[in-house]
This record gives sequence, structure tokens and C-alpha cells, in this order.
Amino acid sequence: MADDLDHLERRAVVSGVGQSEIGRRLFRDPLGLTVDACLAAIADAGLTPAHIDGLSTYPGGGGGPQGFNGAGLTEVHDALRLNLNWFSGGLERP
Amino acid sequence: MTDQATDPPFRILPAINERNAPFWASGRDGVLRFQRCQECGYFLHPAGVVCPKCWSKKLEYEPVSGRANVVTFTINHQRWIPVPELPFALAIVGIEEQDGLRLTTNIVHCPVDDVHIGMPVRVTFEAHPDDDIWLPMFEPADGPSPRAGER
Repeated sequence: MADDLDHLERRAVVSGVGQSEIGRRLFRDPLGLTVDACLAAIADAGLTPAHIDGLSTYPGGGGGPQGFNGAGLTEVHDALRLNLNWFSGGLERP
Repeated sequence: MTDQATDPPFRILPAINERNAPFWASGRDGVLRFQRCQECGYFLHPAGVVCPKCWSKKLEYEPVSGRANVVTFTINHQRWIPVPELPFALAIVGIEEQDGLRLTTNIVHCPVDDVHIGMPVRVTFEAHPDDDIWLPMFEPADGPSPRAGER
């Protein structure tokens, strides 16, 4: 029976969302905007950064068209001092 | 002490951005500075946008003593790039003000054979004023070794 199989994606939920400031001339560091959104999402989920064990960024640092790529995997990882079991980052990583 | 008398040696210089520019220019007045959380006092390096201890965004650059200890090092003998001198000591030093506040750097002004783990060192800067960069290097805590030129 297919019901016996445990599909990870069937257990996934969006438990928190967060949005940074959005604008053309904010004069903000892209990493600052990313961190704002991350911390808002983590708080929305009722968690703290210490609970986060996975990170996925898109399109990742260094890749993508100009103006489209903000903070990448390693920058976010470092800024939030995350202790990760898994990660994926667009062009940066598999 | 700052090496400004001669032309700066060849270096691959750091990529400067808004966050790290004050760190790399800090040595202009001979003082090492790191970003510090104004709420909880935690020093950050490399520079960030938020304090990873208390999540405050109030981060300012503050001076430190420049004293440190060698945490680990390696002696490089291979001319991978046109470096000014060989061999040289590549080290990670721990800054006195905070456990875990570490800098990857060179140990200079002493024979490379004198470099050892736990060695007390102090900051000295290699000036690249045209690029507004003063590279923090470290020398023996009691000053340049009289045998500094020896290899």
C-alpha cells in the first residue's frame, strides 16, 4: 500500500512566514533584509534561530541576474549562526 | 608599528563592502576595531548585520587592545602567488577581549621558527593606503624580534 510509505514532503508544513522591507532605494544591505525576513518567519513560527536545522536559499549568493540575488547560503548561515543538518542554495550548492 | 616607509608589498586585497570597510581601514590610526553589539557587548567578526547572541541590530565598531594569542598556525614555503617573502607564518589568532573572536592573519617581525601555539602577539598593520586598507598582522607581544630578518 502506498499509504505505508513515509514521504517527507507530505509531512512538510509552512509554519511561519516573514517579509522584509521592499523597495528600490532602501539603502539597506541585502543580507540585512534577508535576516529581517528570516527572523520574522522564525518568530512567526514560534521558534528561535537555535531551533533551525535546515536552510535553503534561492538563487543563492553569486548567481542569478543583477539585482535578483541577495544573501546566499553561507552568509545567512553565518549571520544567524545556524547549526544545520541540511542545506541547499541554488547555484552555490546541490 | 606600521610599515608605511616603503611601497606596500603585493597582496590579494579583501573585497570591501559597507559592512567590512571600517574593519579594513581601522589600522589607519594603528588601532584594531571589531563590530560590537551595543546591547549585549558581543564582538562580531566577520562583520554582520545582526548580533547572533541577542539579535540586536545596534552594531558599532569599537577598538580592542590589539593583544592576541596564536591559536594555530602553518608555515608556508611554496610561492603560490607572488608574495613578498618566503617562508611566512599563516596563523589564526584569538583576540584577548573575547573567547572565539579570531582573525586569520600572518605572524611577522620574527623568524618563522619562533612562532608557536599560545604565543602572545600584538597587532601591527601593513598599509595599503591607496585602497584604504590596513591589513592587520601580528608580531611578538614584546615587539619585533632582533632576529626578524632570519629565515
